[in-house]
Amino acid sequence: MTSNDAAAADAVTARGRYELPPQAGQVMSVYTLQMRLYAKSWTPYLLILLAALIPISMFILDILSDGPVSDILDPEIVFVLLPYMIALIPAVFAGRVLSSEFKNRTAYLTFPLPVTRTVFFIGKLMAAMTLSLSIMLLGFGLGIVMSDVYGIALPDDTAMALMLSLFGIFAITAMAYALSAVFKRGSVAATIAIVIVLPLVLEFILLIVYLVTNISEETLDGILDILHIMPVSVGNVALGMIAGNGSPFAPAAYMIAATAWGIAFILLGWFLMNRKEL
Amino acid sequence: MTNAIDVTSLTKSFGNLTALSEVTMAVRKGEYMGLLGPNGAGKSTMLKVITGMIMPTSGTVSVNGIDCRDHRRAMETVGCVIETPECYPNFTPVEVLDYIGRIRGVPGNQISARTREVLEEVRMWEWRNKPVGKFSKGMKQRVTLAQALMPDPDILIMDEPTSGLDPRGMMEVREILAGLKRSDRSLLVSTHMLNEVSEVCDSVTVIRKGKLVMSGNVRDLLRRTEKDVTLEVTLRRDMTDDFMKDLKEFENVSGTERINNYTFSASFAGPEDREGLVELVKKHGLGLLTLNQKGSDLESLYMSLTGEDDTDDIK
Ligand SMILES: Nc1ncnc2c1ncn2[C@@H]1O[C@H](COP(=O)(O)OP(=O)(O)OP(=O)(O)O)[C@@H](O)[C@H]1O
Ligand SMILES: [Mg+2]
Repeated sequence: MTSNDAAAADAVTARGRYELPPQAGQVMSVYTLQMRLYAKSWTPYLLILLAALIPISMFILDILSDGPVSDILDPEIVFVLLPYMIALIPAVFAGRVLSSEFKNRTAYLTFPLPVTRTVFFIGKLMAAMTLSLSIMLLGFGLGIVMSDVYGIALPDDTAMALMLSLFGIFAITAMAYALSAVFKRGSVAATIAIVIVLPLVLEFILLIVYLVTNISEETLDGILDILHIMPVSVGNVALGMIAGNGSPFAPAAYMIAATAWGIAFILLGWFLMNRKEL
Repeated sequence: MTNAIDVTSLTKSFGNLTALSEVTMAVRKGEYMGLLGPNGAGKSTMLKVITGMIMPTSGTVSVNGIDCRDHRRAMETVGCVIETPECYPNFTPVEVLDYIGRIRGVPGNQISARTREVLEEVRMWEWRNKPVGKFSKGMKQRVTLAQALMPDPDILIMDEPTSGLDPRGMMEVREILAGLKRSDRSLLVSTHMLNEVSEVCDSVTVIRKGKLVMSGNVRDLLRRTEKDVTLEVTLRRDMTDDFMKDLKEFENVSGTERINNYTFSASFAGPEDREGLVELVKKHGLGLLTLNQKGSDLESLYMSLTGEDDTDDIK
């Protein structure tokens, strides 16, 4: 027993009123806190409303169109694009979860408590993931139910595209969340920039390079494929896959890339939050 | 017996700025300690190191004998209010305390009873189901106090708990703090108000520009003010040299200062005989216009402790 252990035992037996719960229990308390904070904000309700637009719009289309809905609807729009776009909202807004604690000074309430910062970090991360991934699953679920209702045939790669999108949302949520551990503000904007602007900029640069140098079209495509392995492009890849365009790499490669990207950001955010001075 | 809080050679730098320099102090079990110092003295910095919000540059800090680097265990029996924290504005006091209670290990079936106890202690029970965001500053401060009390702590650490409150709010918070006193509970409270220390604490540590000035008993400190009174007197007519000579020899006078031709101040190193002084003025036919005690005792003591004369900075 170290002297710290002895002193800790001393302090508790001397008073003995309450005993600290195990760290896993504290993670659950932080998780519950964040879920309650979500429940008291507009976010989950707006997201559920957006997801509800999938069946609602199909219903309206069905009334307005003469033939069956399946004639005018591309399945990839319903099964991948809409759920993915909706789930991108909570993923990007995970960039607020920790920074709002610093900005609103609520961190001064939580950080002196007898919890490690790691516990705090993990509990809130789990809540952010819960929101993003469950909205994605809700969107998918509604899409699949509606396809059944209106007799739209499911493309072969639907399940794979679903998996891929989930990994993409995981990676983006992780990135936004990690940024929010470091910056007081701007994590949401930074995430949007990385998800939407960065791929465009990279592709634009590549196009210029292609035009001014004489690299072959194959090389260009190759580089583009490698760029597309970034999780920010997962939505595109999943879309292409379901539309039957195929993809240059095996789906597993995209999943591994997304997992690695997400975990790298999580570790970085965790590391930086542990040394943050308040 | 281990001390409640032990700070040893604590230094904290922010880049070039040394906010705390080699500070050593201790809070014993059962002691109510005031941490006194002017703005920027390093009070918050010290409390933040103790509560693990920032890391020390060098030196050690322990709470109940547990090194503060083991934050989770060091804070187990500590309740804090640091840097006027905010509660989640959409939460009610009951919800805030539920979160705090769970994370600190108050058993689920005792949380509501404990919540009631602490909310009654800070007189916020009737507001228990209203969102904290709508509360006044004073009410918010009382909720954060309740949060600190939730685990029935041995040690309370408070950073300027009365800052930003009106006089009534200040008084209420001080009353609550004084009412929490018990033999096995310690308090470390920062403030820049000496009267707050004298009302709430038994001991005081004075820091200034990151350095320890003194640490000791509040009563001993206050006794200093009792024997040091300065009176400022304005006369109707100009002073004469004769008068000044008599004044210097007046009972208990330790020093005199001629402020202008018809105003002087006299310091007393013992009980001041005000009637005698008025007689003396009369005797010299100068006529008395006003007689005031300079500053309040506490104010002048505070000024001398925290030294607005920066003579030692020149060295
Ligand atoms: N994070 C930080 N980065 C840089 N300097 C800091 C930081 N925190 C505090 N300081 C500086 O350290 C010094 C001490 O600050 P501190 O907040 O501890 O003072 P204080 O005694 O609490 O004053 P106040 O009565 O104004 O609250 C100040 O000069 C302050 O500017
Ligand atoms: Mg301060």
